[in-house]
Amino acid sequence: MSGVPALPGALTALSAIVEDTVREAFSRRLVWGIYGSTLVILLFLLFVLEIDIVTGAKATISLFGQEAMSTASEESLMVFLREVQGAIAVFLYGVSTFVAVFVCGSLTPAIFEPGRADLILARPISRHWVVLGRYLGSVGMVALNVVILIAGSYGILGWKSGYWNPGFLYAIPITIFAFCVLMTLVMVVSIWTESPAVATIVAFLALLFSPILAQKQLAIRLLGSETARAVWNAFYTAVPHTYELGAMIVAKLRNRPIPSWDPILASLLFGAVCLLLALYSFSRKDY
Amino acid sequence: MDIHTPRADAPAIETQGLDKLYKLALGRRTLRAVSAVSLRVPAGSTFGLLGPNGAGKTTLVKMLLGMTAPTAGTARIFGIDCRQRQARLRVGYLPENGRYPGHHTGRSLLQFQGRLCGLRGTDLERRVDEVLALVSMREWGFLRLAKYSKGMLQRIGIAQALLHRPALLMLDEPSDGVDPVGRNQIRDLLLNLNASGVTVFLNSHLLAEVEQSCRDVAILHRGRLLLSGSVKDLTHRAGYTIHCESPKGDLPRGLDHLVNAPPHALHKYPDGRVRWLVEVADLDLLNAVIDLLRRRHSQIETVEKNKTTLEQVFLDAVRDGAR
Repeated sequence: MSGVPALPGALTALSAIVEDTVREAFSRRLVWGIYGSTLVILLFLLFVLEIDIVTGAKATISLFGQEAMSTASEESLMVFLREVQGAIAVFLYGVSTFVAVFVCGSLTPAIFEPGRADLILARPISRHWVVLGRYLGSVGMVALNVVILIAGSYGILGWKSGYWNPGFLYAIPITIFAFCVLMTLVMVVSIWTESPAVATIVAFLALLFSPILAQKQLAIRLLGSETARAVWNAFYTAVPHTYELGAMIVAKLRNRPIPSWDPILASLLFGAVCLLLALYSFSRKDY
Repeated sequence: MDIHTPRADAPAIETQGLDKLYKLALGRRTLRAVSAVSLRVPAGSTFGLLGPNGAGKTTLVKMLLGMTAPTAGTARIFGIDCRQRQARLRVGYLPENGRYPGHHTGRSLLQFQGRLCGLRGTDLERRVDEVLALVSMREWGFLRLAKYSKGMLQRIGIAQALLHRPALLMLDEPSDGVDPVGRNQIRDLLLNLNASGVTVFLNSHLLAEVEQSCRDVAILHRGRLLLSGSVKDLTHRAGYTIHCESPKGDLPRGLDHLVNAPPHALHKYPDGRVRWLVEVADLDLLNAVIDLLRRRHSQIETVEKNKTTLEQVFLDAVRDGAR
């Protein structure tokens, strides 16, 4: 039959959905809130936090002009600055992951809602592209913010202290990775429940339980039965290891080797399974 | 048969034994939304799918668009299995309760939807301008959808359905929320599109709208197809009705043998004249009755071919289907 149009390519459809996701994100006040918070944190580091170093004498950290921490020992100067940067890096990791999940938890699944999904699904595109496009759009939007926040903080702290520790920059890929993993959980739960709120809560629970479950050695000592230990172990294995990912940032800041890559692999596996489940569930879902 | 390539001689829509069973309450209960529907919509026709609320109309449309998987049966669009992406290439769809994202303007929504259809660059821009003009929304294209009225959203919905020059247009309640002038414009637009070869499939509970826009209809009730056919055939009723006036009381003798039922006196005037309604079975009898009435000096006011309304056909079908 003549005049039959060609199917849109995967790249065309994906880029359209990614662009639409970013456009939707920036139309929401919450997203401007993330970028606003980033600006506030950077301004705080720039103007409020003072790091005074007098070589061979003393290092001091001041907040609002008041001395908050100090060290008098020359040898501990580097350690002192590393610890300060480590605390800031872990704080930025935790805060940016939490805020990103909070914002994207309502944004990303919006396209799966009946009525809105109808407009997309009637088009000659694969459902997989819809899920992937939405996911990549959210990740891109958050990744940009993480890069600005952590690279900006690194620049300000380095400029103020004269101490440039490249380990600080490991917070960028690790934060983006943690968000990517949690976002797959948001995707699959929102497709199953059709509730972005439930999906966000589940992702927060995973974030919350990670430091608790990470106390595996302590739990093994305290738990009485083998079954309880096995359950703890199963949960520990299943939940993304966001706590240990944070610990990796600290290890890199202290120039220590990463003790184990298992948290990365386990979280990667978790994310891959969730994403595959999201793709499969969405492709089978009735609208 | 190749299920990926459209066939020139294929009907626009063809379903065979299409069935949809929903499992509710974790599979403890079931709901049969569509039951063994076999339907054929010829290419180039205007087709109306009628049914009361909950009849399964939207489920049927969603199965045709691959949004809902049939439990049993097959459905083809221009000969292509409806589960294939290729089947949706030539279909424009207006959902019943479409939720248009408020972050878009009318124009940007069309640009986004156009890209999902494979349109790009100047072709896309030109087409966006064309469809905005078609639905009389050109001047509102730069306004955010969040600010649109229900009628304006409906127009944008029709515009996005037309973007890729579809050969089959499936519209679910297109006049919903649109004012009478807008309805008229939509009807004219659909008729013009049909004249240019587009198959129009209208899903509506507005019988007058369907009667005015569609040549063929099907009536769905509780998931079952009760009847289908042309509007002309379905609303056809044998016989003719005469309105006449006799100068003095009774109608001419011999008339009783020619008519279906005893003539019905509609009005008696003080001077003795009576206004009558007379029904006859066919054309020969009609002429015989008219001859008789004229010989006896009765005044004939009107002669009408008997016809029932689509509403009556619908109500009868639903009532019979409910039994």
